[in-house]
Amino acid sequence: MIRLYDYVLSGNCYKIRLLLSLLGLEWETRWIDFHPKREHKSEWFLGLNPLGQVPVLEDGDFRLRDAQAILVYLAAKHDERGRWYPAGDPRTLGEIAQWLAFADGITATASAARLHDGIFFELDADRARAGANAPFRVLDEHLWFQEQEGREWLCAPGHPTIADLACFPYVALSEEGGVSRLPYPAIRRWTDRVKRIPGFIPMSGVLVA
Amino acid sequence: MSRERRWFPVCRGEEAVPRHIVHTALLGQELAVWRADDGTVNAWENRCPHRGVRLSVGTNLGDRLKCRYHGWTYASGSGQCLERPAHPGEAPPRIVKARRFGCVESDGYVWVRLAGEGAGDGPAPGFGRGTAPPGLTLRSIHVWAPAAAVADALARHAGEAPDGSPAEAVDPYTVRSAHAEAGEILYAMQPVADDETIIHAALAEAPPASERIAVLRRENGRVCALRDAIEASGSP
Amino acid sequence: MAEPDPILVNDWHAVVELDFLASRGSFETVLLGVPIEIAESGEGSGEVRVSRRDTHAPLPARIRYGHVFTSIGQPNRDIVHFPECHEADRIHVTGGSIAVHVSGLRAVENFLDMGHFPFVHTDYLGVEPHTEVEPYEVTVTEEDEILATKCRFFQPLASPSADGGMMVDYEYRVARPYTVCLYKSNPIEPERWDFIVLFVQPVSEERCIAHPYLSYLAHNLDNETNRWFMQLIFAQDKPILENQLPKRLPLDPRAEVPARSDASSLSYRRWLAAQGVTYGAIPAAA
Ligand code: FES
Ligand SMILES: [Fe+2]
Repeated sequence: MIRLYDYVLSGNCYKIRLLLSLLGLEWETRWIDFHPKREHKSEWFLGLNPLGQVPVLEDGDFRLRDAQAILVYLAAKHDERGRWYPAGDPRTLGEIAQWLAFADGITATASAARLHDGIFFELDADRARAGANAPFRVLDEHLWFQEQEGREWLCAPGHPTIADLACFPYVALSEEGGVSRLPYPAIRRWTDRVKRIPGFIPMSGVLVA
Repeated sequence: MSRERRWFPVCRGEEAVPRHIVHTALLGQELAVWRADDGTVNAWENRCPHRGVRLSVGTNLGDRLKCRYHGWTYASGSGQCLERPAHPGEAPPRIVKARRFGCVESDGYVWVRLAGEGAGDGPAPGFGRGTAPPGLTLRSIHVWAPAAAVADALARHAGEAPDGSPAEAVDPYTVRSAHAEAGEILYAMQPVADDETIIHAALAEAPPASERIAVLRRENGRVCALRDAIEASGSP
Repeated sequence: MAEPDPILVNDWHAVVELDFLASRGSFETVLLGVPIEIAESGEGSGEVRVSRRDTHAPLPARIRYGHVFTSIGQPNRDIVHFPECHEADRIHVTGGSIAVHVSGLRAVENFLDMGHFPFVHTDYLGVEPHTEVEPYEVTVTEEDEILATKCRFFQPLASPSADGGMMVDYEYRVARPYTVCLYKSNPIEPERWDFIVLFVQPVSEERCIAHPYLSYLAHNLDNETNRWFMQLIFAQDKPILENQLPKRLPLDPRAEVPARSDASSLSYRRWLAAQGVTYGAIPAAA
């Protein structure tokens, strides 16, 4: 049985829930009291993940931390059609790796501002907000040119990959951190497309299309 | 001439895609711009009359817009409220309507004005090239700077005309330049808010199909560089 | 920015959740525009100190309902008493305080509203086509509180202990301008009510922090389950509230277009005007 250590308002946990559900997998949830109790920094949880971050995934006796890593693992292992993470397609795998790293840049900026504004994380929120504009501009430009070439998703294939799932949550939640998406119309069209993937599930704060 | 009575471009027509709601603003007025399945484009105040929720977070149902908060729906065209789900089967009062703004599609863009009727003040919606629409609409670029500063910077830098003549500021919101590589380019400012502008741009002549993407990229790069310079300088 | 009204200045407000304070020892926040700090006095003593960060003047502190309460004025009445919160056979838990970029009055009004359940809390507190808000009764009590009774709504998953959809009975009560609670019929003990109170901290006129406190009939629920469910639900309201324009609550009845289902909202707006509350509101033009 797959077990997910999960916080209900975490975008990084949500992207795992989203992929699990798109893959039609069953899983069991262990809710972490991230807020208010900071259970992710408790001794027992640090034993699971010394970085003190959710999500953590267990599949049988295999344990994995880091949202992007978990996406790779789940897609590689459980996606029989090989679409979410197309092994054997080096270019797409390269592109996916590029966007998975990019997703961490969104987490460091847009998500940080959201944690500050919503649940009182101590950090420089104005700097985080300003920092989110750089990746959002790159993303909007990329998606606009993808559309010009008849593509709907972050990577070249004609279907979404885990790159889209990795970048989606904290983009879709950016306004909770005071980052408006009005300047990013191509991003707004892409988030609508992600929300219409068959089997899509939302999280609180992500409005369905 | 009042700015409220002038037509401004608010998005490329093809970006008002079906079943989507464009979130933009004009002169500080937020807009929800959306295309019905029959092709009609609507530009509404971005605010549900019921409890003020932004309509841009609602749903485009093809012939009506549905508000996210209590599901009230508003008809394309008239803006008339059609349903209030808390009171099913009961027709809403006629006076309940989304607030609409003047909206037309021309030269590949959706143009909106906040006030006025009929022909109104200022240039007609479009690039003023008569019957010849632009050959290629470029990527619109958002800039964190006032429209006047952006237009001024465009007029000074965008030109580089073959004959050395500077770009021409047609009016405070429109710049025409003749570029060595691209030929004639038209720039129209969308004053989003006091310190926020979107540059809409189009080439007069379409490049050969094989060069389309390369030209789009080149012109995008040029305007983005100008945007970065404007934002870095903080003032024109 | 308007000066806070005396009725708000001279009242108690929840400013931090104890579980949260315990996880960091001290916390800085803002109440009615005044920057304040809350600190645990000593390891495990259970005491707290509250002070202004601008003048360093100490402020009164009370611990109640899992939160620290304080006042920036002279409180002339006690913190509201909720008997349900003292019943031993219930689970009492704070829900996880969440900041919202909107007037706290909008947050209170949202808490009173049933019509949004199918659209905002889809598959939990409501689902289409069960959208009807049946007529209910709203009164202002002798204690000058708003009471909405005979409220009923169809809910697919009313609480973490529900299994399957059901008609749920509700009562709502606005006890103070920024304090609102609800009573909700329990699927297992129909004659008793689950109870949730929302203490809304007015940070500024356009920002608030919602501090929920739940007293649920126990029935195999644990704190963790209640908390994640509460946060899941409240975080669905947050983006709606943050997309309301204007951010302050308009008290002029013509500013927004109500329907019959908004009886409690209308009563709340009138009551705020009668109480002289302007902070977080757009008062009606005279
Ligand atoms: S606010 Fe739009 S339907 Fe209520
Ligand atoms: Fe709600």
